[in-house]
Amino acid sequence: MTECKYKKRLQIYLDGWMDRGDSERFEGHLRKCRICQVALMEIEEISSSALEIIDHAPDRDYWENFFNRVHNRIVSRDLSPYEQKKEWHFHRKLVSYSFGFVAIAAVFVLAFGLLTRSSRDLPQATSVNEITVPSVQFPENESPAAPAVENQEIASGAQTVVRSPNRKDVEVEPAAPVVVAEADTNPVEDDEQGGPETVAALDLMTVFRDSPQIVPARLQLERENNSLARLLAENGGTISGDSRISPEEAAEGIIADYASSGEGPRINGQNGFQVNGSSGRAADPVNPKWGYLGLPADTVRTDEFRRYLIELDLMLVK
Amino acid sequence: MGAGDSEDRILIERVLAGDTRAFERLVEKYKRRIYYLAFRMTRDHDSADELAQESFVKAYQALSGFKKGYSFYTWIYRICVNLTINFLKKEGQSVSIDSFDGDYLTEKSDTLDQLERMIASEQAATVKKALNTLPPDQRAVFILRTFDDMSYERMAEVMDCSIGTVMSRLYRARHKLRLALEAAEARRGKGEDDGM
Repeated sequence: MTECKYKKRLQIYLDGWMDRGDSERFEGHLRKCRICQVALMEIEEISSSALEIIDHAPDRDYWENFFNRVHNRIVSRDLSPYEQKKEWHFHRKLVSYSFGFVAIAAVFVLAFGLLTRSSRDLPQATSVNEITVPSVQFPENESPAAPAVENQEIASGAQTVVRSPNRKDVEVEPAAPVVVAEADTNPVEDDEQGGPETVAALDLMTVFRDSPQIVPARLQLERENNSLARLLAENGGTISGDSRISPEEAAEGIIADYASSGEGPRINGQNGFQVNGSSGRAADPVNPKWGYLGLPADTVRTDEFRRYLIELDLMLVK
Repeated sequence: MGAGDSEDRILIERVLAGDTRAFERLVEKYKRRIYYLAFRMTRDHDSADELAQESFVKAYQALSGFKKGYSFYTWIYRICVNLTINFLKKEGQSVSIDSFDGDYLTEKSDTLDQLERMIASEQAATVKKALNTLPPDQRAVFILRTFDDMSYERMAEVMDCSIGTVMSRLYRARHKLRLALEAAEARRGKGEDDGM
């Protein structure tokens, strides 16, 4: 007999894979089976021969500097002990979330843009961007530079709302408090107006003269815008769309064009506001740079306010 | 998990906390084993040095993904075996077999008489040569079992295969080496006969 059915178990016996019971039984077999004894010796000879192979032994310096070499590799590659796979997963999640966020934001911006566009197209509609006050009355101005302001009746609906310059929204931030000279403030009586309730007249020129005239900083520009917006709102003005002036616009030159048309006085400022004095009518198609203030028709006709707007434009250029 | 594995786990946690000295301790603990594993696979010092260093670099890089309960010893071996097998496949196994001239006998063979010493030397050379002709995966399991006394389970983890596959590869490796030894013995016997 040249083969033994237990010969195949020699390896697992030799490698210690058998449990104790099986090992003892196999050892009993080994004592009797010459074939398995020879085969076992052959396997052991292979292992012993392999172990006889002398392995190249690096010198002491090699071992002492081994870690330094490993460390240098890590440093030179700028590695960290954090799994790149995880970072990749994190980045992949971050990218996918970012795309989703951008897509949602784009939808909102588009929707908002469509909404604001539709609101601007309405000539007399009271849009969310409009702040309307029933009446306005300008006080008599004692300043030598400013002519007297007439108290004029404001017809309801006599407001013009025109487009605003390149402003995306009308977020009127809380404006800095405006100092109003009490002496110039006269109460407005409804009876005198004969129309909708009016608020106390204000000496606008005085108000804005008291404010800093040089507004180089954007923040101040914005504050000026907000003050104007607020005052206009309090005095019957209507602001639609973007009433802010961007620094880019302020950097451009200014053309103050005191023009008038058959529809009423109109003040054009390249950097600022176009006021259309037409009552109840929408403004002409506008230069997107223009800011629009909707003012009651009578207010538009006041030199006082017109002069203010010019001065505002001038301020922006400084 | 043995005491050694527990110590390794603590060192790993310290490395992740920023303690490079803890990583140095891990390297010092396993550098010889990893180097000799790579050397026995490639039979070339430069290749073994490169592979051993890369094994630790890769281990460092992936340390945060080291699973709790796993053995660092097994893990670093696995990295080294994979790197070495890939290296051998890439190099077409054309690795310098005899990069140095030397006695193939270890110190303990000095006590053998001259004939036995010669036979042992020839057998060692035969196994060494035959070992280099084995496919990388068979070579790896033979080296892990013979030189590192690794269990089947651990080899299965290192090689990322089943225990049955480990057994099969080991059996085939030993069988081929056995055939090589028999052939060498046959040549030796024939030579002696011719010399007579």
